[in-house]
Amino acid sequence: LATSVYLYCIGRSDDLTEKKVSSFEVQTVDGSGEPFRIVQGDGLAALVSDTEVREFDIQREYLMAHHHVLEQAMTLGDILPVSYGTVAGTDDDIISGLLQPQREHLLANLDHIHGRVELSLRVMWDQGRLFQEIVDESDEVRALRDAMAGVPEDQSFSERLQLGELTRDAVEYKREYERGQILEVLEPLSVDIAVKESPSDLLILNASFLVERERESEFDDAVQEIAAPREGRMVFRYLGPLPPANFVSVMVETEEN
Amino acid sequence: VSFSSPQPRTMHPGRVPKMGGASGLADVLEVVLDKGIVIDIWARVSIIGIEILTVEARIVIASVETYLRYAEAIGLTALAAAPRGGGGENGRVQPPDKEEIFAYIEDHPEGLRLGEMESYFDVPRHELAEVVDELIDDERVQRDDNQKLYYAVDTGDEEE
Repeated sequence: LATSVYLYCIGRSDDLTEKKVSSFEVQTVDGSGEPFRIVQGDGLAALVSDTEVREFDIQREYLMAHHHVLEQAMTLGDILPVSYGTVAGTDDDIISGLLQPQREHLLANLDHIHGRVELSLRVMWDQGRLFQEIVDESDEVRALRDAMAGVPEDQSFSERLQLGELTRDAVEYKREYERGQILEVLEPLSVDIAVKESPSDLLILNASFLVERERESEFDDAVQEIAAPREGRMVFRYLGPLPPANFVSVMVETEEN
Repeated sequence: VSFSSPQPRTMHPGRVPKMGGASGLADVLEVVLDKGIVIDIWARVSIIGIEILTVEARIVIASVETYLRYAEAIGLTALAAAPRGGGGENGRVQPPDKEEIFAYIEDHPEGLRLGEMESYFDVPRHELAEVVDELIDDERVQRDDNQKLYYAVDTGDEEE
C-alpha cells in the first residue's frame, strides 16, 4: 500500500525535534500507530506522520486526533497549524513545496505568534431574554404584540410582518451595541483579533484574540468582568490557549504552471 | 439552540469556565478546518458531512418568513411573562390564574366553551387556551372535541 505524509504543523527546528515528538502521548491522525516524525528544512521543522488513508472525512475521530496533536505540539514552542486533511506525497514535497519556497513567509508568521496565545470567545443571546428585552425596551413592539394577541393569524398578517421587521432591526441593533461594548474592553488587551461572521441571529460575537502570553490572565479577568453583569442574558464560551490557526496566513496554491 | 459543552478545566459559580482547549466536535471544526496553513494541492478532505457546520447556525434570510418567525418569538414573550406575573405596570390585563379558571369550569358541570371563558375573564384567547391546555395535561379538565366543550374532571377519580 502506498503511504503518504500527513502534515500537522510547522515550527522552528530547535523546538520541534524528532526526539521530543517521539514521546508524544497522543495518537496520530489516523490512529495507525505510526510514529511522529520531523521533516527538516532550513531551520524549519514540519511535524508529520505516515498514513495510508486516501481521503480524510469530516469525522470525529480524525478531527479530534488532529487537534490533540496540535495541542501537544504547542507545548514544545511556537507552531503554525496546517489545516486538517493536508497530505503530501513524500518528505521531499514538503521541503521543496513548502519549507523552502515559503521560508520567509513561514518565519514571519512564527514571529507574529511568538510569545502569544490564541483565545476564543463566543457570546450568544439567551433566546428568551433577547426577545423579552426587545419587548421591554420598545413601546411600539409591545403595542403591536398586545394588539395581535388573540387575533387569528390570517387576520393579523401585516401586523405580524411589521412586528417582525421591527424585531429584526432591534436584534441587529442590540447585537452591534453589545459587540461594541465587549470589543471595547478586549481590543486594548489584544495584539490581533479575528472576528468570525456567522449567520445566526442569536450570535453576538465569535472571535479569536491573539494575546501576549503575559497578559493572558489580565484577559481572563476582563472576560469575567464582561460576563458578570450579563449573566442570564447571554451565554459565554471561552476557550484557550488554542493552536493559533486564526493568526496564520499562509496559502499555498497550485503551482503547476 | 444548544451547544455541546466540554468539561470545564475550572468552575466557579457565576464565572465563565475557561476550557483548556476545543474539546467538543463543533469547537474543533471551527478551529481546524480551512484555518492555518492551507495547501490546496495537498488537501485531501472529503467535504461530505460538512452540513454539521450549520447545525448551530440558524440561517437568517431577510424575508417574510424571517419576519413571521420574529413576530412569533415576540408573541411568545406574552405567554412567558404570564405565569410570572408582576408585569402589570404596563397596563396589560393580568393573565388569569389557573385555579380561577379551574374553579369557573368546575362551576359549570354542563360544560364551557373557550369563547365563554374568554368573555368572562376578558383575556386573549391564546393565553386562556394555554392555561386550559395545562389543566388538560394535568388531567383536571376534559375537552369534548365534538361540541368544543370543557368539563372539570371529578377529583379523586383515576379512571380515564
